[in-house]
Amino acid sequence: MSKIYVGMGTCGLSAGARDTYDTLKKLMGETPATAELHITGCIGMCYREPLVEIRDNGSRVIYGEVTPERAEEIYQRHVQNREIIDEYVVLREETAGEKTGSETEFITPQERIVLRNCGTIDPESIADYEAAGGYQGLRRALLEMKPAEIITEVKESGLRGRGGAGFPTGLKWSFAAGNQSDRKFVVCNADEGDPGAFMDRSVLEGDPHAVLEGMIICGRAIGADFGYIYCRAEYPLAIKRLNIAIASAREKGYLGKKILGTDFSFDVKIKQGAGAFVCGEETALFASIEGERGMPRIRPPFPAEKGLWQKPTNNNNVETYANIPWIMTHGAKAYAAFGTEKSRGTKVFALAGKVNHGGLAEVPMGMSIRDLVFKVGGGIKNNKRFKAVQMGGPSGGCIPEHLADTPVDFENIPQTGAIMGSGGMVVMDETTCMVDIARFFLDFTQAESCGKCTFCRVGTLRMLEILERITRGEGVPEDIETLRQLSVQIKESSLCGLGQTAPNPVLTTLKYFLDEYRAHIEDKKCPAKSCGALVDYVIDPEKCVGCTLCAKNCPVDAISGQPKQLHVIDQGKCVKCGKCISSCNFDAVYKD
Amino acid sequence: METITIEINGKTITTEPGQTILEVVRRHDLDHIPTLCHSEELEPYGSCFVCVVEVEGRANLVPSCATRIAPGMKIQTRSERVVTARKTALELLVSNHYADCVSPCLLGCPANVDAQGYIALAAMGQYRQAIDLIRETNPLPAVCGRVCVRRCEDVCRRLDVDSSVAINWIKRYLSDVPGAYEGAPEREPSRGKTVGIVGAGPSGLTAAWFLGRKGYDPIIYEAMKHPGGMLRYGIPEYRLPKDMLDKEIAYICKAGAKIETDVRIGRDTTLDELLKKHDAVFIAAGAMGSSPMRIEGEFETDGVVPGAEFLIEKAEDQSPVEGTVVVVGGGNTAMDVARTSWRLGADKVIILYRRTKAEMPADQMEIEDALREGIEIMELAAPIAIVKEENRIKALRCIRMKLGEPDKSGRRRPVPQEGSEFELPCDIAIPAIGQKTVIEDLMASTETKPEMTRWDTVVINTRTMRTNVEGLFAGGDVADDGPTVAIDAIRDGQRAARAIHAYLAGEELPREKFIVRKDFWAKPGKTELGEVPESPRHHLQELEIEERAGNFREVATGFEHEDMVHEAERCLSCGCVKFSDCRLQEYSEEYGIDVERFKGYIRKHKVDERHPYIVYDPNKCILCAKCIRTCARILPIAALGLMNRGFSTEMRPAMNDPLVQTNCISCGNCVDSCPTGALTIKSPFPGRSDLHAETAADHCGMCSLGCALTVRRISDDRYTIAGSGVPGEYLCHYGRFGTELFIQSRRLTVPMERDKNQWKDVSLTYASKQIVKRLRETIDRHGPESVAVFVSPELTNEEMFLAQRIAREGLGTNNIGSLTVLGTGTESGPLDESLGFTQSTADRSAIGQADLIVCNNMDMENEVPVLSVDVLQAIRRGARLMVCNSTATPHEKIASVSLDPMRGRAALLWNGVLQVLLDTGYFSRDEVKKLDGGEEFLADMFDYSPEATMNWTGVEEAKVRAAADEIRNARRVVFLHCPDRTQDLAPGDLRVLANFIILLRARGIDAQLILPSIAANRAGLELAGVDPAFGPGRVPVTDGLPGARSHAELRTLLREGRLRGAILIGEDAIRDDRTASYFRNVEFLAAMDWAQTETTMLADIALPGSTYLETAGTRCNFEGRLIRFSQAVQPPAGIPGWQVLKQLAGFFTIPGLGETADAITRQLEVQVRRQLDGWRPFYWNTGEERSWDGRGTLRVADVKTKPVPVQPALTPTDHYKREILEVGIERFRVR
Repeated sequence: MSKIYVGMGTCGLSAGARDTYDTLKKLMGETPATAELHITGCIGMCYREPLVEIRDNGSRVIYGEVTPERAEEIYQRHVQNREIIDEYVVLREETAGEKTGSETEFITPQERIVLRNCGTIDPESIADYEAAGGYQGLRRALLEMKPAEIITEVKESGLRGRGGAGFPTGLKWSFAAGNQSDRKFVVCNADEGDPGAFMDRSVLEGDPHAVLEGMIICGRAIGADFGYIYCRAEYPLAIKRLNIAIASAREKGYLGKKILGTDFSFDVKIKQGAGAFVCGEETALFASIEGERGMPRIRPPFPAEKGLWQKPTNNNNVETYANIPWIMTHGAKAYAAFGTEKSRGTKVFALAGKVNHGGLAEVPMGMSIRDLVFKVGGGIKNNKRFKAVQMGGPSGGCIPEHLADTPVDFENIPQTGAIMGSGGMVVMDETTCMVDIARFFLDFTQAESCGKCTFCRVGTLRMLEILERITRGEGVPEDIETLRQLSVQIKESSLCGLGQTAPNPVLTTLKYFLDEYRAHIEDKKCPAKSCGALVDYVIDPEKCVGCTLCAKNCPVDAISGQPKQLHVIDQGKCVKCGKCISSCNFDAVYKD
Repeated sequence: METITIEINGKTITTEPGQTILEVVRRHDLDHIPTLCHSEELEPYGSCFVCVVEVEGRANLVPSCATRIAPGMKIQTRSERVVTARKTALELLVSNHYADCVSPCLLGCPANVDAQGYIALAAMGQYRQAIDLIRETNPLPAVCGRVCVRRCEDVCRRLDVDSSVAINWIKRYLSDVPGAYEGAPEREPSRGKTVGIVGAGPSGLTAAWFLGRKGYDPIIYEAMKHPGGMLRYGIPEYRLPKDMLDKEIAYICKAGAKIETDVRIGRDTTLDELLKKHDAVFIAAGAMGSSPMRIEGEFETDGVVPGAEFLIEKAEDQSPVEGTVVVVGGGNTAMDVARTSWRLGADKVIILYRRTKAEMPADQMEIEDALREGIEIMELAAPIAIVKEENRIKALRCIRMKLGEPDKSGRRRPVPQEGSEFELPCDIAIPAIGQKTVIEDLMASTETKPEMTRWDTVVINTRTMRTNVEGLFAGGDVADDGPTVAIDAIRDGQRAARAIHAYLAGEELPREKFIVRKDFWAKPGKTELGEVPESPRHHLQELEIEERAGNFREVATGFEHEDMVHEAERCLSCGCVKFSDCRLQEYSEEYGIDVERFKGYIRKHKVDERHPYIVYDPNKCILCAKCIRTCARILPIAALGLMNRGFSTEMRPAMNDPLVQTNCISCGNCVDSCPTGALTIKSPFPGRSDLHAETAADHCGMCSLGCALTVRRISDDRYTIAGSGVPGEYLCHYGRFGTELFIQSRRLTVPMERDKNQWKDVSLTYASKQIVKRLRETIDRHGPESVAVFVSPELTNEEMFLAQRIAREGLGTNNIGSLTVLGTGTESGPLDESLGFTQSTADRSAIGQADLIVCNNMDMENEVPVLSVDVLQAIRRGARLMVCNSTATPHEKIASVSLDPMRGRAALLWNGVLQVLLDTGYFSRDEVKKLDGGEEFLADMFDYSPEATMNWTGVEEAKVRAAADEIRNARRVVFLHCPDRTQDLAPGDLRVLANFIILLRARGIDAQLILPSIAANRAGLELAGVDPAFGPGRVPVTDGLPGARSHAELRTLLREGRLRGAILIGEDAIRDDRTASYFRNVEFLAAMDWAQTETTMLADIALPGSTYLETAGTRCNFEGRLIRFSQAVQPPAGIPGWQVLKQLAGFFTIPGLGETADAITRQLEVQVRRQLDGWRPFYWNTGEERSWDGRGTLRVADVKTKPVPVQPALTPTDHYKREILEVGIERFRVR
């Protein structure tokens, strides 16, 4: 019997997967049982959602953009009549055979460890997880290994924290393990806050048990008996699936007292965060769990010594924990075989921006930015020129095209001035203004500062004001120096990562795109033609046929001209709304 | 001891580990590191980043307040990088500091006279302080009060509401107050250097005043016959009376200035000679010449008189003016000339002005006055020629003008209209279009040639006031941009004095004050001042027009007192009360920050003034969170917190409610913690509380803690209270704000005698004699056992000691005690039989070391709030809290166990807990039996099962057991019990608690009993002998004096109405019916108190007492420490309480009373040291080590009698405290 999987992650749902699912369910109710209907998480091809996968005897066919109408067609032709509709297929995989379909290029370069189950199992079914090898890592860790051995295994795997800073996970665990205390805690940071990053959400929605299993193993390794998952309340589906996972894990004896018959007990609680970016900073996150205002605390003492409720605490993010069961099952060596010498394993990236394949991809560490963008990402939308990628969200930086061959790992990326971050990768083309990008990220960080440190609270706003001035064409040459100085001072005089990294987008754009700043300040021009105040809308006399459409659409009557005569835009009246460009059928209006 | 070695600024330091960099730097005095968010008593926070330092090997700068030293650390505290970062941090903070450091009027005044300050002092009735404050910047208050152009009023914020405050007339009022010119200004010791000053005008006089006060000997050389310059010769008498000017100059001379008149430089001496003779010379020669009209013949024609010359002549010789006078010009001089001419009898006076009235530079008031006096103003006309007859003027040929384009000054330029010429007939024409310097003489025959401008003024650097000649300074009309107004000349004199001092002392000129002002960002305007109610300005009284003709009487007759009060009330008090003490200001100045650098968006907030005592101005908040963190130390649930994120982050009261609606207890420690002016106290009186003339260290007498405080005194009836300034020392709402009561209460200021319902003031001698006579008569009739003296437990030991001498030696009775103590139903020394003494067994530091704190009959937050800080801190460190009260108290919320026995059953309950501990074997019966009193104790303990205990007390069995568990698990226990709080006082409770600590001690548990009382000096009563059972030094009374021997006997005497005569000191017994009934048969009652109470009103004789701030002496606090009180302010009666009692004792012919409060302390101390022996440090501790060995006798306590009734408040302060609790924190105002 065929199994039908509908991708019901947040990306699928927002593309209409609910209707697709309901359609299929209705059809199945009306016809004799020829298939089972399941839900699954996100497989990464968010750009083709809703996705429907049909499995028969080891073969997989994934259809993309499955609207209710297509679902009906697929059901009738494929499920009932065994006819594969090639034009809808995004990926097809025969038993142990090669992959075909329109999106093979997206999937083939990937190595899926963290996302191993995402999009393939039903996240609400612990049986599905177990069938996919779930909780085998826990069995090995609990039944065959001593805590110290677990830590050694993690150390040898070379796994580094996937939250952004890349601190060696095994080493971190050994600190918490080494501190004596009546209680210790395991904390999972699921407060994914970078704009454009959604790896953790996908994992929580698509494979919640992997995170739980990783946390339980960590609890065993460091001697903790309780864990918190700090998850933002904006991820209701993740929280729902986590709750289902926790309940079923308890039922199965993976959580609670005497796990798998050992003396080890461990339980987990979800703490919902209200969506403060700074709560991704671990000390602020602890404060928030404790019921205080989410504000960073001074370190030292470090969390491994005095963390949550002043007890030794290990904090990792979702992706880090999701790696652990695989490492425990397949061994450190298998994991270390992926990636580069100092950055082992794989990394999940959220591709966004002006890239054709916007979605999630997990690739071995060390792949170049260019390959990520062009091979996995499918290149730049509308064949525009590739300009830069922004990595690491608001804490990261922009890497220009000429550095696109940089391997993506913890050694090479920081040398560009950006950071690995949690894996957000925003792709930019020639129409992106880099001053405006810096402004955008600063606008985000300044609003998300907890308000504690002077430099972060006031300094980022003052920088933002300067950037706003520049994009309005009111910049003065001294602004660049002031921006540099403030950036450095904010970085070196802030308590937590938020402030210490907030100026990065400005610093990297100043480093690689100084010309653009200069053009704004000195020539009062925006080379990307993106900053409204610095762009003139002009009608090309060669192309204009005098159709009057632009004049009719202009909301401020800035365009004049007789029918069949050349039209002219009055720059004094123009409000730069762009209606003329979009209404012109002859490409006669351009930005200057 | 373990040490580590680090390097700071290249210096090797070996010190203990664990300290922060800041601590090491401060301890070794290595640098002055600025801090804003740091506080010694709070955990490191690290938010402001002004304390950053550089640590070698660290990429980032580190906050020194939060970074602990590590071996080998190399630290730079003042590298360029550090200084730049600090500067930027301050610039960023100030970039969002929408505030006025000082008022606009101060900044608007060229001489920076603190108008807001003197107005506030005037509002407080501190006239002398007010005028002296003016003299700090301007020694000519009477002059300026009359003739100033009042730039201060031009910028007054009040203009956006209605009209400016009449600042200048308040100044005039102050200069008119009798006594304003008495005495002499303070002078620094002579420096033996002289300064020559040329010209005794406003600039020269001002320089002389400041130089004189600095210790120099200024000598002014004045060319005219009298000093004053243009003030005398340029301003007519009807505006500035000469005697007023003389008075002012005489006062300036008291500062050391000498004036040599009729000495003209160039005629009688030269600049060269002056420079030789003096250490420095200041040219302030003025501009006594007139600018010419630049028309033909103006210098040769009879009847054309330059304005300045005219005024100078008329200042001396007021001969009549005849005919028609035409005055040319539109300034004040033109008005002066015209109005002088009118007064001298001119037929007609015409002012000729080339623009219109609206453009006239003259003061509006002057123009109006001139018009009212009948002077004509001819607008839009200018003279072009003189029409003469035999060299005498006949008319002025004039031309009509019209207004053209605006010129540089913004005024429209007058343009002649061709063909509009006309003749204006006149007998006298007086050009008054400006003044010029006359310096030909000054510069004649001298080698010294200062550089001059082309307008014949001396070139100076306007900051240093220096000329190009060494040691030669210049200012006023003669320098720089030439003639202006008096206040500019005063500013120059002030600056010159400062510059000359710096020059002569070889010092740098002081840095300019760093100031932020709201106008830098945006004028507050109507939007911000919208809620200020309109209140029209009062006007000066003036002579009627007919009263002015033909004389030079001063036109303005002044400001009445009501006018001044009204105007002072109109002041919006724009400046910051924290200015002189603001850390942000201090550092911004030190680091020379640039306010412009980060000028941008600024958040504007409304100032929250809804709290009765505390004003919160969020605009000034720098988010250091010190207030929040301080509040969290003091309250179980802090009243303050942060809200919003990013730049919008704000400190706000909990739930963003007004502070007054949170659980704020108004302790005001947040105000002490605030490094800027964001949190300030509301001034308890009109005016400003920051203008204190002096501060005095004292202690609080509101409860038995005796917290250290600072009195900021403006006058004896105007002062505020601030914390001691010592980190970790706090004040509560009573201590900080309760003293308001002392100021606002109806005070007893003189002794009073009552005859039926008539009261009359009498002398202290009379009153004392009357008391002696009347009480002796009572004793003659009813015997000495029928009279008594009752004393408040708030008084000083000295007052108590004198009071008991009056009772025992003066009246011959042993009826001496305190109604407050009698009301608690206990006997003297209730623990003497148990412990050997009745006092706290340890000091409050024991609370910090305890792992279990038991509060019995304590409402800490409301009665001894500062002690609850110790308790809260201990709880935060992990100690557990158990409370036992029938009434609800805030600390129940945080207690591990909260016991709520029925009223009066606490002792029963504790016995029940004891029984559980015995039954479970925690206390072994065999071991207990061996203790002193053990057998009887055990015999009494048979029926306190948890069940029975529940039946008696209403406390569930489980709770009784839980309480026992708490004690069982504790290793260091502190019992806190309030001995004079009657709400939950139970018979025998103190003794039961004593049993507890004896049993715990016997088991090796560190147990202590601490007895904080509500009344300040309850402990002193027994020591001073205010007790029927004890004489001074706590010696048991054994002699044969008649009267009571115990509290019980005294209570019986009172209840049975056997009292026939009494002296009540500080206890308001008549307020409450129950205590009033004790005095129902009294034939004579004397009362003494600091406030008028019902008792003093009913008494036959009432004597004035004093508050704890008003009398010197000692009190014994709850720990047995001797607290010395200074007399921070004078009592309104002029005589402190101890002296009143001493005088009274004198009339009882008691010998050896001691001359000073200190002498009495010593007399008492002798007794205490003699009698109390080993226990003395527990009662009268002057710094000794003490420890209680834990031994005592178990005593069966009577636990089942009825509880004492709740005692009414017997002292005014106690009553006030209860009132606060009853009405919440509504500001309590005594009618």
